[in-house]
Amino acid sequence: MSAKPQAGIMGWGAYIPLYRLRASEIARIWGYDDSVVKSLWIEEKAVGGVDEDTITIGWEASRYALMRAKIDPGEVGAVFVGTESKPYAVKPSATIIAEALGIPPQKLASDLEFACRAASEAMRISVGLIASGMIKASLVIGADTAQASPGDVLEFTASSGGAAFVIGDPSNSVAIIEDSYSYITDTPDFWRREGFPYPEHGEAFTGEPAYFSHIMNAVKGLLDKSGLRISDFDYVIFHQPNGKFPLQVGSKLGVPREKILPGIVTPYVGNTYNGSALLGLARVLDMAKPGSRILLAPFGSGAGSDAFSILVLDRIEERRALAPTVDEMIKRKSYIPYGEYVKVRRKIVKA
Amino acid sequence: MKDSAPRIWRMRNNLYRIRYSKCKACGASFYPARASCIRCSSRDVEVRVSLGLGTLVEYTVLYQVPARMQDNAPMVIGVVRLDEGFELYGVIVDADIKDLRKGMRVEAVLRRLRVDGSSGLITYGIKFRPVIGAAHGEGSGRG
Amino acid sequence: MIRNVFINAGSAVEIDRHFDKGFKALALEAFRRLESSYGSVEPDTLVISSMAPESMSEQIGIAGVIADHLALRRLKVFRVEMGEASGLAAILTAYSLVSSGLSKGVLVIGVEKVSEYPVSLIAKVYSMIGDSDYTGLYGISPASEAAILAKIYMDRYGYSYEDLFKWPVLMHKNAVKNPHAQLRFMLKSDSYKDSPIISEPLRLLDAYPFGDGASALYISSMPGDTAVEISGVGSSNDSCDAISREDPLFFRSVRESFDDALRMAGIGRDRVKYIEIHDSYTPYAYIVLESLGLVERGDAPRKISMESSSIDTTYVNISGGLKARGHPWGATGIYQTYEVFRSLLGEAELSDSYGAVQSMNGPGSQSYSVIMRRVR
Ligand SMILES: [Zn+2]
Repeated sequence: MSAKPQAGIMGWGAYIPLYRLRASEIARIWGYDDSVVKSLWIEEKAVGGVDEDTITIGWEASRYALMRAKIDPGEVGAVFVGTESKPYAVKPSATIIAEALGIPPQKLASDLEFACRAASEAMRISVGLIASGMIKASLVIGADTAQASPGDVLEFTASSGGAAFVIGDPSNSVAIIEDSYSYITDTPDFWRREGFPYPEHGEAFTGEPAYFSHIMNAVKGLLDKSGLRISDFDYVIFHQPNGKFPLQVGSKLGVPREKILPGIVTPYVGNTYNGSALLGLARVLDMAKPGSRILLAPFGSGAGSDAFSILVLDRIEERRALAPTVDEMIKRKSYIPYGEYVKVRRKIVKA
Repeated sequence: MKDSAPRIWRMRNNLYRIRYSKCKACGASFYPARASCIRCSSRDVEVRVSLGLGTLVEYTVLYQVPARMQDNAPMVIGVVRLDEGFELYGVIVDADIKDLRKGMRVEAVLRRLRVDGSSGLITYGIKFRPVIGAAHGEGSGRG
Repeated sequence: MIRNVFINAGSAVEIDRHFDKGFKALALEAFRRLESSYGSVEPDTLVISSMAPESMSEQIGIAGVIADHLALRRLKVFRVEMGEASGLAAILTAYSLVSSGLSKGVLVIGVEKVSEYPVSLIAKVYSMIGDSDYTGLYGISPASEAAILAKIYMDRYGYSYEDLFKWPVLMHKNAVKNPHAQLRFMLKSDSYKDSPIISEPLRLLDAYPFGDGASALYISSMPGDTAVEISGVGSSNDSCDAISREDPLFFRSVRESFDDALRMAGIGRDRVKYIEIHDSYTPYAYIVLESLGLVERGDAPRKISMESSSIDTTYVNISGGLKARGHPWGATGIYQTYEVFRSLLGEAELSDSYGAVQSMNGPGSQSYSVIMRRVR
């Protein structure tokens, strides 16, 4: 383990839109057998409303994170938005979110893109910025209104939502980021070309050489570097493109199911891309006892994975009730039919 | 005509938060913010920012929505009484029409107000939705 | 020296979707009708009231364009715009020009092209009558504000929607007799059941129809053979929105402008035997009647007589009102004034009494009142 914790999580916040589309509804529309739905372990997915996008979702999650961090927005020295569904191709989402949160101009702010792990990288960047003394606190947002071509198997899971974390002074944090490790290669498992609304993917190729290989290398790298073992962790959270993959990668790494299940949200809200593993982390922070150790391993296509070791502190107890929990947001839901989904997610071309 | 970038930029402080006036002479609060008190005419007013928590006191469901708002139809237009003691008209989102009731707790959230075609600006601003989690709508310490 | 001000002549074009006429043709038609009923006039001033020619007709400086089209020259030319109260604001302008001696004869034409675009675009332009940075930008339309005030009204005074629907029924009945009204057909007391909701609880039949129109008046310092004198004018303002007021169901500016006009005329409101009011949406008819002080607060729906279209001894909206005569925005105040003018000259019952016009932009955001009587 590295000598000294250099940054911590001061506050966390999640946001899941109200609307839900059942996987069975998508299967009915596009002629999939229910067995496909079952094999993915996806029950329903969150759908952002007609006036929601990555910026509004990021704002909501950030507001809750700032409430729990109990810091003045003026102390935030960086705002990073990890997303692959930027409302503007050119014009940062981070500036709009920061302005709306009252974060003053003396800051860094940018949108990061690395498929589903850009926000995860922003966490590592933030640790470096804080450890170096450049800034006092960083707001890291992972938010998406994930796109999927209508009828593509991806459509079962691609959803809307996000999570945000205030990274900062470990002495005023709810959890310490003890260590982290990244593993990145050039692997074309999933991509979206400039100006095209929907991504394409390599189907089975997204599995072994992409998701599994990168996460396992990142986790092994972290364990080697830190000297920790899987058994040292109470909770393990992986990127979750569906409900099945995190359990499978967990079993390859020898992680018991019960350590993975608390961080699994995708079967109930879908894959929120940059919010995916981070919503899992938010849910675990909603429940973890002080002293718990969390292994977090997001993954992004293209491809890369980061592994973090996070130690929960006593202070977490007093911060929990300051904002709604992930479970409160999972339970808050309103089902919509496929027709409304294609309307609100702007899949209908109008004059 | 295209949405004006200077206008949206100029208005951002009023779009992204609820800025109201508080009269130091008579104590009245009112929205939108004005240069003097709408009750006692005192010039001694200051602009404050609301915490964004309030109560729905009346509402209507608008079906004949103006141009550029069609995707939002029907729109719920409400009268919200903010905890700071003033009322304003606001767009209510994320509430099933049949679940709307006077007295429900709402909070200010950032949403898209309108979108200028497929290449113009997106204007963001404050709307209201029912508070998430029963415990989170009562306090006044969040905003 | 303050001069007396008279309305010598007037005219009105049928309010309709005049797809075949632009604002120039409508204004010309109103002018021709005025001259054919009265004889030729020689105005030294032209005042055009029009609310939204920029948005609807891509026209700025509309008064100059109309003056040229009418081939009138050597004129002082003005356009008056105060939203949907533009017409009465134009009358106040003409009044002050004549009473001051600056003008001797003012031709006032209210003209509006409304039906140029689909309903959603018309609704968008109409939404600009309030504070655009507050309500307009958010899609909080005038119809939704009227609907909210209707619900507060029903709640406070214990009326059902059916109780309020009396007003559209009465207005349609009146409009049948008005040759220039847009909606000249009767409604049944349950007609609302087939009428689409625009903003719950208000239905399409609770709102004024979209139509184009032009109406003209000749206002001068000379009474001529027959004339109606403008005995009093008044104007006041309030917040753009109704909900920030202490009582959203009392239109203070309506009361103040009416009181000012009565004071100027030197009469009590009991001398007003006929009034045209601004009833763009059903609830506003009741709120305006109560704000004018013609009926106790909360009593208007009960007290309005369906037989005589009157409240106590005052006839109200014999024309059919904005609801059924129509509301071509900036032209409406001119239509209202013309209707009262025509009745004062034509109805023996009114020959010795006063007539009045009430107009406002939004929910009493800005208000204008005119009081007049026949003098010859
Ligand atoms: Zn005051």
